[in-house]
Amino acid sequence: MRLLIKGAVVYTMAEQGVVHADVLVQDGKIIAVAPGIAPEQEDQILHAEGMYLLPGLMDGHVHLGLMDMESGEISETTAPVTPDMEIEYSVDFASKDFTYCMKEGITSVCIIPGSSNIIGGKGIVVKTNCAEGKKEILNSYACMKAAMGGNPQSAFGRRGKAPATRMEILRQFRAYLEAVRLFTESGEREITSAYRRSELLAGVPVLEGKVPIKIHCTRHDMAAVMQVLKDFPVKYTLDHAWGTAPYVDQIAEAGCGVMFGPAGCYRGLGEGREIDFRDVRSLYEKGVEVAMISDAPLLSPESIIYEAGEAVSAGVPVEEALKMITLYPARWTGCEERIGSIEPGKDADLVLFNGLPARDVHARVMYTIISGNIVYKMMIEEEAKKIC
Amino acid sequence: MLIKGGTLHIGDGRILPDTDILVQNGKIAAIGTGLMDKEVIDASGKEVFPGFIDAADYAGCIDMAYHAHDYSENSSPVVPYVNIKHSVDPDEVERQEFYKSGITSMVMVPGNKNVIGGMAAVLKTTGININQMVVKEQAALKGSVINTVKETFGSRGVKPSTRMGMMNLLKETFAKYQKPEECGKLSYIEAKNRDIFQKVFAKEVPFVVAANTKAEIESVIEGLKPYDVKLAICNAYQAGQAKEAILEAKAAVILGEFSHMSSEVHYDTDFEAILELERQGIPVAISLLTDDNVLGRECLFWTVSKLKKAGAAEEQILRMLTVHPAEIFGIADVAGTLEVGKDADIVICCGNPIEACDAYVTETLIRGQMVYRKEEAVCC
Repeated sequence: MRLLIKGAVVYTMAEQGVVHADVLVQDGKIIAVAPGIAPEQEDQILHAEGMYLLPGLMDGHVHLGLMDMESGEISETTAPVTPDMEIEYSVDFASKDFTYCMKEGITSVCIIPGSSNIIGGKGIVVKTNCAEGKKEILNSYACMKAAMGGNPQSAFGRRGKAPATRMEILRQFRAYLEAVRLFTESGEREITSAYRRSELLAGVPVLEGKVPIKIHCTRHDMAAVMQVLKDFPVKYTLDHAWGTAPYVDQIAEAGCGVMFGPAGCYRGLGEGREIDFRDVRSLYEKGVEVAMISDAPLLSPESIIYEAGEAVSAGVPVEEALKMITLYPARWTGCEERIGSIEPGKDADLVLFNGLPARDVHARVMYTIISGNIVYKMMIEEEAKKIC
Repeated sequence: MLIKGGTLHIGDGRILPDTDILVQNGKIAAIGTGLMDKEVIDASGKEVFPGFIDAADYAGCIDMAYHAHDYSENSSPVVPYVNIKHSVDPDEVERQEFYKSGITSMVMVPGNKNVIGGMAAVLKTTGININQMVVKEQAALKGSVINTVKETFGSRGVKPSTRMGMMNLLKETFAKYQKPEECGKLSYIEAKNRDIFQKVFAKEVPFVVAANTKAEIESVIEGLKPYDVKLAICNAYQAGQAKEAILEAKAAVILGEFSHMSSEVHYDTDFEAILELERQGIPVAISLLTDDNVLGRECLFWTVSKLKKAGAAEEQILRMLTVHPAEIFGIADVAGTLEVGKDADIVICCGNPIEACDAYVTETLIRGQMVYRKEEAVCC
């Protein structure tokens, strides 16, 4: 059976831009985006006049399903470099956080290890209907997680182990990448004593530029890591990226992505006091692709929508702000082929709002669709009455 | 100073287009049309609001440098006779830049770790020293019956380690200070505590108590039924579920912050029911306080968005940001609305931040002083 969504204002996040069009869905995929598509008899029709249709929202940096258990599952803190850890095995896919994500229009999330390790392991992208028993992993190696600065430093340094300083973090980070390079150049034979074979194998697609490194860093840690990465042909995102103002030009030149947030935090000391959405605007103006992150459950998952609104308040155009919670996170986690925009051929992960998020404060999810199935529906009063 | 030609949102539901506000000596001296003054802020095309009030927070008492956590005197679960004012670092408050979000007053409360945690104070959100910032000292007595208390004391083997332990201490303390003469000769500290409780029993100040769940809210209301006090429930995530008890007790509701650690997810907040409470006359305010932390200024408006999604009207939201907290904490004579005689705490916006995400604050005045002006503000 096909699903026809009629009459919405469609924010495609693709070449078509913003169009008043119908969207036709078959077998979990979008098959057409055009005005006035004629329904066939069997088609399920969703009347969406007056609503806004967006690609399913995505958060490119979360720890969902890792922190609502009693014991911590977020970081394998027995060693500072653990590239072959697979976060998939730590996630509780039945966590009610995922169901909540669907309700708020977030259809995909990139789940990653925490930031206690210099290199923490492999992140995955999963659709948020996983708690309904439909675990669909879009990318089982979406990124390699790394972390600079205070987190690895305190996780290990406080126990009298390395790294105890930032300089040691950068040394170990470079040493690992160099070992992977040596390993690759030698036809996967050269193994330095510091790393196991599986640890080096995990780094191969990273050095091939196929899997991005996702680097927890802020302020001067960004400058340091960008300098090291000049020597390696890798793709990467700077995650959190608080205190970006002095480094905007360097970031634009590096050609990396930025995952900004979580925002709305208490202004403590250090990087935490430098959360400023004017930086998001500066990055956008320099052509850097920025994605908004909630770091959920540290912030509630739908915070990415409010963050996109803050970016708009700081002067970013609404359509660009919406790309920050759809297209860009998909692109920088290797899922752009499947999700992130409304185009024929892509997964039918779609959200209908009663207003435009990041523009209208009242915008609320009316329907969430994952792989062509309506997984959440807001009960409107009149409609509820009809059913009664 | 004259704020000329703005659309005034008075706070009581009235909206006056193209109206002037005359500010003199830190107060609102006149509201009308065709007013004159030498110094003029052109507010034509802009929206003008009374300064917003964050109804519970301890920003400024955390002391990040030394992790001192000055907000909870957790050496004992019952400490009525401490004053949060003495823990505030004005520089740390300043760092939050509340005025950029139009927040001009905040209710500084002791944290949620103590069954009775001390006295709260209402402050302006900027000032060169704490005494200058104070709007009202001893504005409330603060308590808590949430998990944070159990986690703080139970883990040390000190009562309370359970909900019944918390309620037991709460009721015992109220009983003791209602009839202190039955307790024999009071020590110095007990006499001070009695003085504070006398204000609570005289309804001079509210008792603000953190209670998250339906059960906690109902327990507190039930436990304090014998006492005629002004009750306000903060961090009241399940206030909607406890609607009947709150209506019966006429307790005020202060919503906690929702983004931190997915609070809304885990407490299943019913925003529609909370809005219904407000429509039925319950004062409802919003805050940046979480169970064991405080969040940044932006989050106050993220809560506004949640309430809007649930169908809140603009004037209802504005009441929650202004009139209701002013009423709960007894500062309605100086704050909460744009009216002659009140402090000139005024927020001027490009666009309406209760309606549109692209709205932003262009100027903020506290007691008539311009504490914030956005550079390069080109208003629509």
